[in-house]
Amino acid sequence: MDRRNFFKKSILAGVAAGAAMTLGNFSKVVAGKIPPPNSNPGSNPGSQGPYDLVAVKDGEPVQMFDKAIESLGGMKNFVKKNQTVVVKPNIGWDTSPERGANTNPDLIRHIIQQCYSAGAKTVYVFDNTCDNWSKCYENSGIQKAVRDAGGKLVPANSECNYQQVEIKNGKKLKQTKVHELILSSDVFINVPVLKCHGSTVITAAMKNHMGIVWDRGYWHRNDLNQCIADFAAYRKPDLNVIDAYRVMTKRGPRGVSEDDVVLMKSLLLSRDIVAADAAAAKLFGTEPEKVTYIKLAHDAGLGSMDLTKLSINRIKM
Amino acid sequence: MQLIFLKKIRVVVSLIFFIFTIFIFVDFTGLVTTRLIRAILYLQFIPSFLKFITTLFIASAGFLCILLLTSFFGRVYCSTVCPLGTLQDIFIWVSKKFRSIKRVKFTKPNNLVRYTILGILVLIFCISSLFLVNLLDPYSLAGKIFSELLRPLVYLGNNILSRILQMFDSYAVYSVPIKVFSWPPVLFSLAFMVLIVFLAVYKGRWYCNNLCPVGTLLGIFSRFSVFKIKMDENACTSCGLCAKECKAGCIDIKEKEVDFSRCVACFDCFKACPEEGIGYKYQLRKRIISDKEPDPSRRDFFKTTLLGTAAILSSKTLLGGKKEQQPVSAVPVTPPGSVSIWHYTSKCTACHLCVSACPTKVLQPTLMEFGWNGMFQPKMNYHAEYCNFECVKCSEVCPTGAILPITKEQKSTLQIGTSKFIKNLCIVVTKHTACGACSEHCPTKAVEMVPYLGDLLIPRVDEKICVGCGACEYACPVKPDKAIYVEANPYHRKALKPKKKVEGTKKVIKPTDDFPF
Repeated sequence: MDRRNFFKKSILAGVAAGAAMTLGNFSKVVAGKIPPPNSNPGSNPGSQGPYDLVAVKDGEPVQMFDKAIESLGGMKNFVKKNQTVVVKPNIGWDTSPERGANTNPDLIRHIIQQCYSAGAKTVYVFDNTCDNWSKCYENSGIQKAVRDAGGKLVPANSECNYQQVEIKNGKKLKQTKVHELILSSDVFINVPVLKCHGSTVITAAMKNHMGIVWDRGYWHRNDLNQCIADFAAYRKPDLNVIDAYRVMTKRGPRGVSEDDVVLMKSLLLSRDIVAADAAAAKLFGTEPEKVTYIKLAHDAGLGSMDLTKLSINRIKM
Repeated sequence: MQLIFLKKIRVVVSLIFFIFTIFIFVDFTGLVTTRLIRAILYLQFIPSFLKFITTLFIASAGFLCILLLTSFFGRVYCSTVCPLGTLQDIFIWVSKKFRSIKRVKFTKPNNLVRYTILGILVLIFCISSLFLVNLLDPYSLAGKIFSELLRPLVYLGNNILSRILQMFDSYAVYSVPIKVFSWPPVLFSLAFMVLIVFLAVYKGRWYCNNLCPVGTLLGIFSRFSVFKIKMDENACTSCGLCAKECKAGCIDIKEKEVDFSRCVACFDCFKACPEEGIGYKYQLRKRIISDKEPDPSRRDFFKTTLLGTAAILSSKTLLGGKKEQQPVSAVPVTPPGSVSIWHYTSKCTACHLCVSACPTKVLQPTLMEFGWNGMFQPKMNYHAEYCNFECVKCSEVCPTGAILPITKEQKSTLQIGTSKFIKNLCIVVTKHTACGACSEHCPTKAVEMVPYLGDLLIPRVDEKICVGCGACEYACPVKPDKAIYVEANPYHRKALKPKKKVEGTKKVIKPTDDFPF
C-alpha cells in the first residue's frame, strides 16, 4: 500500500503545474463543503415522524418502501428541494440480484426516483466494493437501476476521493478515510441488504458503512466490532432502509449460490441505525445483543436496540 | 517499374497493425473484444508458432502465412506486422524530420552474431525453454514497452481527466489504479526503449538484423524468395540515394547489390530512386544457380547449431534434474488455463498482454521468480489483487497458448492452488477479536468460519473446494505476513464443486408469519 501511495503521489507530483493547480483548487472546493460530523443538514428537528421504526412484510420491495416511507411522513421529510443526496447500497460482490449479496436494484431505483420527486438536485450512488467494482456495479443490476432513475453512479475505487476524518470518542477507530460524497452531500440514505456474516453474525445498516471508508483492513485488524460501533458515531445516516427481501442466511456475506437465500419479503426503515440493525437481527432469528457491534453501539448511546421501548409501525401487506 | 505505391501500402498497413496493437495493450474499458485481439495478433510470428505447436490447431498458424509471404516477397513482416519494427520506423522518421543524421551506411552482415543467437535460441527452445525468446522476441518486447511504460501513462492521463471532470460533477470517466508491484520489468522495458530509440536514430534497423531472432529466421527464408529486390544495372546511375534511404543498411551501392536477407521490405528505396532503378525481380531461377555455391553464412549457421547442440545437450540433464526437485511452496501461482507451471513457462514469451487485459490486475509481471526460462513472465500476485471468479479474460487473449482458453464453467472447479491457513498469525488468535475477512471474500466458501473461543469464530480451509483464486490472501489484513496464503499447484487440478447444502453449525432460518419484535 505504501509503495502504491508513493508511486501515485510521485506521479501526481510529476504532472506538476497545470494539473496540480486544478487538483489543488478542487480539494479546496470539496473542503469548503464538508459539514461538521453529525450535523444533519437533511433533517430538521420538527419533522420527525411518530414512529422510531417501520417494519413491513409480505410485499414487493418497491411497494413495501412506499408504505414505510408514507408512515414516516413521506420522502419530503428527508429530502428537501435542491439538496444533494447520497444513496449507499451494498454492492460489495460480483453476483446477480438473485444471490442476495447486494441490495435489491429495484429498491435502489425506486428510492432514487423518490428522492428526485422530493426535489433532490443530484442523487449519488456508490460503494467501495470488495470484488472488482465495475463487475459488481454491472452484475448486481444496480448500474442499470441507477441510470434508469437518473442518479449518478460514482466509482469509489480511487483513494484520492477519500478524506481523512477524526472519529471523536472512537475507542479503536480514531481516524479513517471517508468518501468525499458522504462529507459533502446534504442527505445520506443508507440502504443495506440484510445478510448473514461469517464473523459478525449479521451485516445490515452499521456494517454497510465499511463501504464508505477506504481502508477496511484497518477495521479488521483492530477489533472489527468495536470499529463498526465507533464509526456509527461519526456520521449517522439520515435514513436507514434495510432490504430484507432476499436474505442470505448462510455462507454470507458473499454466498455461493441461490441455495443460501431465503425469501423473507421484509423491509425496515428507521432514522436510528442501532434500532434498524436490532430489528434486522430479530428478523434474522437472533437477539440483538448477540451481535457484538449492535450491543457496543447501544451501550455507547448511539441508538436503541431495545425494541420494546420504541414506537414501531408494523405493516403487513 | 511503378512500385512506389508499395511504400504507401506498407505505411498504412503497418500503422493499422501498430495502432491496434497499442490499443489492445492500453485499453482498460473492456472495449477491445477478444476477437479483435486474436485477429490483430494472428500473424505475430513467435506467439502464433508457439500456439500452433501447443494446440496443433491449423487456425492458429499465422506464422505459416508469414513464412509463405516471406518466401515470395521477403521480410514483409518486419515492416508491417512487427510492432517493434514500426516503433523503430517511427523514431527513424521523426529523427529524419528534426535533424540531419548520417544515414545508415552499408556494412557487411554480422552473420556470426545473428546466426549464433538464432542457433542458441532454437537449441534452448528444443529443451522446451523460452530463455532468449523472452528477451528478444520483437512482439513481446514491444508488448512490454506498451504494457509497462505506455499503459501507466495512458492511465495517468485518464485519471487526470477523471479528476477534472469530477470538478464539474461528472463521473463519466473513472480512475484506474496505477500499481507497480515489481519494478524490474518496468526498468527493463525503459532501458530497452532507450536502447531501441538510440539504435533506430543512429543505426536504423540494427536490432532487426543483428539481435532479432525473427528477423534472422525470416532472413534465411528471404534468401530463397521468389521475388527479390534488385538493382537494375542499366538504369542505375550509382547516385546512392537508395542506399542513403535504406534503414537496414543492406544496399551496397558499389557492387549494386542488395543483401535481401537483411532487407526489411520497407520499400523506401523504391521511392528514393529517381530512375526507378530498384524494385522486385523474379528470382527463382537465379536462386537455383547460386545454390550450388556454398554459402558462408549458412555454413556459420550450421556450425553454431552443431556446437550449441553439444553444449546444451550436456547441460540438459542438469537442468532437467533440477526442475523435478523444485519445492512446491517456492513456485509462483500461474493463471487458470496454464495447465502447469512447466506448460506455462515453456510457452509464455512475456508479452504482458494478459497483464494489460486482466480486469482486476491480479496478473503482475515478475523478474526471476520463474527462473531464467521464465524471465518477466506474469504470475498471480495476491498482494496486488485476486482472481475474479467469473473471469477468463487472460485465457482468451493469450496469443502463445501459454494460457489456454477455458470456459467459466471449467474455471469454477479449476484449482490453481490451495489456501493454507497459518493459525498463529491470525487476528482471531493474536488479538482475540473478530475478523473473517478471508472467509468473506471466498467465492466457494472453502474458507469458512468455525467456532473458536466463546463467540469468536476462526477460519478453516476446505482444500477440496478451494480454487486458489487468492481472495482470502488478498483480503487478509495481517501485516507484514498474511495469515492465509495460496500455495501453487504446479499441475493445476480439479476442485470439487461447493456443497449445495451446508449442514451443521448454523441453524436454518425460516421467515415467520408475524414480526419477531
